[in-house]
Amino acid sequence: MTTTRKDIPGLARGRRAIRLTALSLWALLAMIVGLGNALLWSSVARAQQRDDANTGQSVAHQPSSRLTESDIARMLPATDMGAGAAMRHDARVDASDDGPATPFDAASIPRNPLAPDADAIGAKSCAACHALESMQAAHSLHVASFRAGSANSGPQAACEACHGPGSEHAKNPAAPGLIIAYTHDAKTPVDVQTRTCLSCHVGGARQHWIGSVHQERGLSCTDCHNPMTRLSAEGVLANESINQVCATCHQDIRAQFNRRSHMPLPEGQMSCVDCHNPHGSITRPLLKTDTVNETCTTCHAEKRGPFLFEHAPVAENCINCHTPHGSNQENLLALPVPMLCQQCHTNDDHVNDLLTRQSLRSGLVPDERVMERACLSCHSNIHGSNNPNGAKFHQ
Amino acid sequence: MLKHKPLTALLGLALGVAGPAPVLAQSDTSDSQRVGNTQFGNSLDPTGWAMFDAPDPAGMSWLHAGQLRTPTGVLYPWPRQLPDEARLGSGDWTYELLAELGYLHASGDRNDEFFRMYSGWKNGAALGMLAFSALNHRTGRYVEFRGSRISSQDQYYRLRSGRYGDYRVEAFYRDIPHTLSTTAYPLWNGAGSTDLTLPGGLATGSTPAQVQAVEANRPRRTLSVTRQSTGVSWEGTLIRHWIGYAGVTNENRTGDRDWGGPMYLTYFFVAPGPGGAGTPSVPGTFGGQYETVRPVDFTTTDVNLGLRNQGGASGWLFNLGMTGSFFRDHKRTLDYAVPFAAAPGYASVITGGTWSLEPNNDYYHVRLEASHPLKLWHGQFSVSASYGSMRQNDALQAPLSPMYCPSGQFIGSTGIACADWNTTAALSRQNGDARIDTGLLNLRVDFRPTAKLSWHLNLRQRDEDNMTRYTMVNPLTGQYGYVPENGAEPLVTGGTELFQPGSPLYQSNFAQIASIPFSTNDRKAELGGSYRIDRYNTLSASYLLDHQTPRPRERTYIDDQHLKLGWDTRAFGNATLRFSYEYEKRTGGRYNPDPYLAAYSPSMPGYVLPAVGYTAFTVAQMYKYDMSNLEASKLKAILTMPLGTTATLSATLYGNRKRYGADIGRQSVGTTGADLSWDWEPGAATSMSVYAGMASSRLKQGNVNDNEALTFSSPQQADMQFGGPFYPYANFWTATDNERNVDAGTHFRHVFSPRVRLDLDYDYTWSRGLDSYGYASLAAISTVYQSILSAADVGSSFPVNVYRMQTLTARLNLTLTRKLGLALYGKYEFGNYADWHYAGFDMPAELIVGNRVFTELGPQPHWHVLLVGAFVTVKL
Amino acid sequence: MSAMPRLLHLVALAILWAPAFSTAAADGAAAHKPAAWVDLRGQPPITGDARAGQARSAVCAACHGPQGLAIAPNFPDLAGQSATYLYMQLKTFKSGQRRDPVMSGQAATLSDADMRNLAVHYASLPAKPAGRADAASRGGQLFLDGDPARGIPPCQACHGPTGRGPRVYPSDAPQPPWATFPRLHGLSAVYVTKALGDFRSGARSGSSNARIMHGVAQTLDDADILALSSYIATQ
Repeated sequence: MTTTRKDIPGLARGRRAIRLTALSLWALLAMIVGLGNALLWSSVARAQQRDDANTGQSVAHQPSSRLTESDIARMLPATDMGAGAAMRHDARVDASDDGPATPFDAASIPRNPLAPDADAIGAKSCAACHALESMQAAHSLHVASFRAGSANSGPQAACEACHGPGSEHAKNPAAPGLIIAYTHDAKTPVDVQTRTCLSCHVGGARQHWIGSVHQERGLSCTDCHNPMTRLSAEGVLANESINQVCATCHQDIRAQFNRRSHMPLPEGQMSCVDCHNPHGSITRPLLKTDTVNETCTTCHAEKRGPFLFEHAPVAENCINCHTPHGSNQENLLALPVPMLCQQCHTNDDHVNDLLTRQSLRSGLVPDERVMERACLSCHSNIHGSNNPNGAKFHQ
Repeated sequence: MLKHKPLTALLGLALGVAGPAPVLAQSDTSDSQRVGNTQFGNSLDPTGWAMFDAPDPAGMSWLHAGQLRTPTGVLYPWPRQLPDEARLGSGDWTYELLAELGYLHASGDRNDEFFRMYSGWKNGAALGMLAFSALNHRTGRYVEFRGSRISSQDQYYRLRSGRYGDYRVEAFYRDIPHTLSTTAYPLWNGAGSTDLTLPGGLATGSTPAQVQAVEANRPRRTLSVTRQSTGVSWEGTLIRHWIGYAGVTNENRTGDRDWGGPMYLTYFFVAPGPGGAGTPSVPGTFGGQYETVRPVDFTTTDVNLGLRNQGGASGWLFNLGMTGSFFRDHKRTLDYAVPFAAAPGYASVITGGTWSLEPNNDYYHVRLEASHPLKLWHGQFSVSASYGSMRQNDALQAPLSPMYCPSGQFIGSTGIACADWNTTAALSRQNGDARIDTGLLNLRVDFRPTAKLSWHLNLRQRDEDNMTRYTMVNPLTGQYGYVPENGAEPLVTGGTELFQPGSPLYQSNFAQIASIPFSTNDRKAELGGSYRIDRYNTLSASYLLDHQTPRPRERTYIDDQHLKLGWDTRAFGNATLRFSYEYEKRTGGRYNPDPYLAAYSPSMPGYVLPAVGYTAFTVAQMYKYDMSNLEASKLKAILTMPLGTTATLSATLYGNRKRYGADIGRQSVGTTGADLSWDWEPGAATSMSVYAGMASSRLKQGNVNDNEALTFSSPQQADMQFGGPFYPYANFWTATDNERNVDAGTHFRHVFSPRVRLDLDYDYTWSRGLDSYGYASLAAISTVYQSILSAADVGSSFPVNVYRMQTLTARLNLTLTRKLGLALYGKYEFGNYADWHYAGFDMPAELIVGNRVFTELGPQPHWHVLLVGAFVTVKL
Repeated sequence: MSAMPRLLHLVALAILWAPAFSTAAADGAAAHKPAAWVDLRGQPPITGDARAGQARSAVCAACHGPQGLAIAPNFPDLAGQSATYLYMQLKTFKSGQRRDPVMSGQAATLSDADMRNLAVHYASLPAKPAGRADAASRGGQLFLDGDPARGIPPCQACHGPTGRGPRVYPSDAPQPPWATFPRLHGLSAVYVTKALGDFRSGARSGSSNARIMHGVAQTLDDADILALSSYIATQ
């Protein structure tokens, strides 16, 4: 006896579409690698030309201070953040191209549009007045990493790599906008702030920052991070923990974690960033994965299946039945059972009866459809069953 | 097998590469890219950082008072007092060590479910914190370790090491407890194993009184699951501009939780009590429901590989991520013996049931992301493509257990031979062979033609291919379908889910004969933009069309349209207000209430339509809420308002209204809420916050009872129309869930002198749920209850559900010497709880209700618990 | 069962009250010593009665001159100086964060009102007329531009381009206590040299402002101080 395949129209089409996606993925990869190589070549050639141009330029440009950007560059530590340097056509990168990458070599001084004529003055000048800031910052991951390896020369770019050239600010510190500032009253546009951070912290988890909801709503990196001091165990956060940072704006979500059933955030076992990437993602709720279910099944892998018998709303979206942050019902359910199930199951027989308070254990007609786990007493494999008798999830 | 090899290989790789590779370079790490394990804390210190958070009176700057604010307007916390760093040897290393060791003691209702939910409190020694960090200021190499232990079920240890801007290796171990019930009294022996046996004296055929007598003396147990995870990872630069990541995590999840066990419905067999209507009924002695206990014994191994590029000369940013996740279930079945005969009087052969628990599964996923700046309008183009595959090929289990339906026996009077169903020879194939593949392509362009205007276009396509096909056909009998509920249903009613062409007994049976391979394709197009009107105001708008083609579902396509408007303003003084509104409208193809016929017997050749037809699958006017029309509005406003130089007021106001175009099914949902908080930080010595919030929600649904008198007796049973003979208006009913939540609290911290610091928190949370119902007539309730219940009995709602918890937490730090300190910790928690699911379950004997066996009494209605701890703190 | 919660309450109360005792003890110990430094970061501009100050100024005039212009270069000119700066100096002389053989004793006898009045009085007197400072001199360069190569910030940032006080702009962000920053123009070279030397050595570090100057002065060598002092004297 052979099995009968029940073909449902549209499935073949779906399979074709997936193969097409997979194929296009590979084609894209091949194309990108090829293109990348080609561009790499041409840029090396361009870089050599640029070297000559730069030497000419540096003679022409006479900064008002005696410390040039390249002086500072030489004092940078020999470790690196090496991001996006070539994109900015930084002379220093070209100069060091023949040696091993020096990690912080891309931390050049960003241009401050509000002080176009300012020159770099070096961290020592900054720290003369900002002594406390300098001390605190030295204990935060961000500046500590700038300092590392520069014990002899001094981390001259440590301040200006983020705040832009400081000569104008040093002369007139109260004048707005003369350095790139990241706090509440900053005159620096948020866009300039984030671009400065992203020039080093490029790609990776921040690949989708542009167009993400936090970018569109005008948040700056420093709304969540404070690289000037160590306030958190990790993540250079603007508060003690990720959860506290997120809750400064998302108070309503934080409150949901106080409910009867919740993900273990208040207990410190999880953070918002376990599921969400606040820097942007390809999903609207900033999930780290392609879909809600892929996020949930990372930890709840047993519910991933696939099973012989799938439950349509389960396979479709966990949020059909669960509220992910917290709920007044058991197991993060969106509604009490049996009402949860009865929203869709109106079939016949035992599923569509009105069930009342008299069907409680304390009622006149105690009923298994209401007491304790209600529907789930029998249909326990509600996330899918791999039992040949499990079409209704009760085996 | 698979789960250990990649671990070893990657460990080798991680250690091999990380050790001798100082020339490699790396940017910041990518924790916010991968799911899980970003947070290490516990109930003693949820942040994992409180120990270090001693504010420095000198503040952040000699130049100005107080703290600066974030761009949005929230005060940054006071910086911490810089630690004493000691030199390590004669080199450039400095280190810092902190250990907090002590004793925890809980008294009162320390076994309460809510007190223990995610906290492994235990009387005894506890490690509050062990933290070590060392840094070489010259080379930037560092080692950081942080660990804490409340008990063996609640602990974490994490080590990070690397070189700033170069590479990082990480290793962690953690246990996270999850207590599911502390009031479980499982009837069976062997709870937590795959075989539940009846305790001494009980055998199938016992009476409720006999079972009750045994149950009354069963010991109390806690049902809980512990997640024990370990992981190692490495991240660092491979070659210039290319950063690699490799990580393996392994999680063992062990424990037990409540589960089910169906032996056919019992409520059908209820009889009116001797006192007549309005008096307690007599539960019938047919069928049976068993709240069992299932084992949890999972291992999940995740392998993550990543490779990304930092925009070298080509200007492309690449991000490639690969995930392999391997789930292994070490206890894949659950057998349970039952004390009640499903059908007394028969020589019952069904003496127990069997479950298939979750099968092993493998998951693979690869995603490539690339973006490149565009010259046109300062644009950016980005593309993301991914491919995923979920696979499962477990050995299938025999439909019935030979233990409880032994060969040689027959099920009741149906003639179904146990031998035909209790081996895997009864299956059409021996393995699951289930697989779902997914593919995703996301294309996006962002443009910024002027400094004020930006817009984007996003196209996304995601397809699923569910390749699982399983036909239930028994090669031994030639029958399609299955024997439901471990054979109990045929035993009780003679009914089956079997279909056999040419068999007078089964040729007209309406039975599911195949699995249904659900899948959805999804196309999304979004166009959006924002415009900065002036320095203080930005408007944004976006339109999204989400076109889904699910199959086989009630609609062949669904179009979800979202219009979103946003306004961000700083126009009100120095406050920031973010306001958003979203309108959603969902429409779709014609609604087909029964699209699943292909998986049922009437679609098979040889099916003979019975004279009365087959029972309507469902009522035609029911719209499932994921498929029905929908009109929704969502509104949210978030205000952050600086008050002077030391305080901030934050407020959130939100509401949403959803209307589903349905009378039957979910009709509407609405939520309204507001939150307010005030944070005050007058100086380094004091900080305080007060918060309060409320939320209320209302969900309404409609349903209709079928006219059971027509089932199998009249051709009218096939009528799917609401208002027709099978689903008459008189049987209509509605249910409404009303929920209200209030949260409030205050957090206070004061440094009385440099040596004495007090943290005091009070948190209050309260929720109230009322489930009410309405009905057209008493025909909405089960036919069997109509002779027992009056309208007055039925009333209009379930009892109120309440959850209230108040927590007072105090922590007092006393500095004795520069290196030695003392910390006293106290937490007083009390609350009350009511959930009508557990109403009437007050003692173990009450867990037996007719032919039903329950396991849990539910959370305690009231609890008070005091947790105290004393810790010695050593800093080096 | 009912005894347990009551016991719990007691323990909880005990924990909550414990800090009260330790606080008292700690405060008692701390009260005798002057604080190491005075926090001027939140100091608002002061007010006072200039006339009353004048009445109290006879002793001061002995060194600082009847019109607030010092009789000898080792004493600072007070005329036209920032009132808040003067007040804070008197205050720190009195409370011990700033020490001077003469001034410590003089300030000890002054009441808070006296100090305010005196400060306002001297601030109201006409400052010394501007001199002809040479911006191109070494001192001028340091004062106006600093020396980035050596990490010297320009003095004009806080003391103003002409030494007549800083340039202030409206802002919602926390601002430096501008009023507590002294005006430097025309101060004698001797006095400025001593002040910078004291800041550099840490002899004068008893206020948050002095701590800023400690950091700044440490970037200066003796030649820089000399150059700056002569430039400031001619401002």
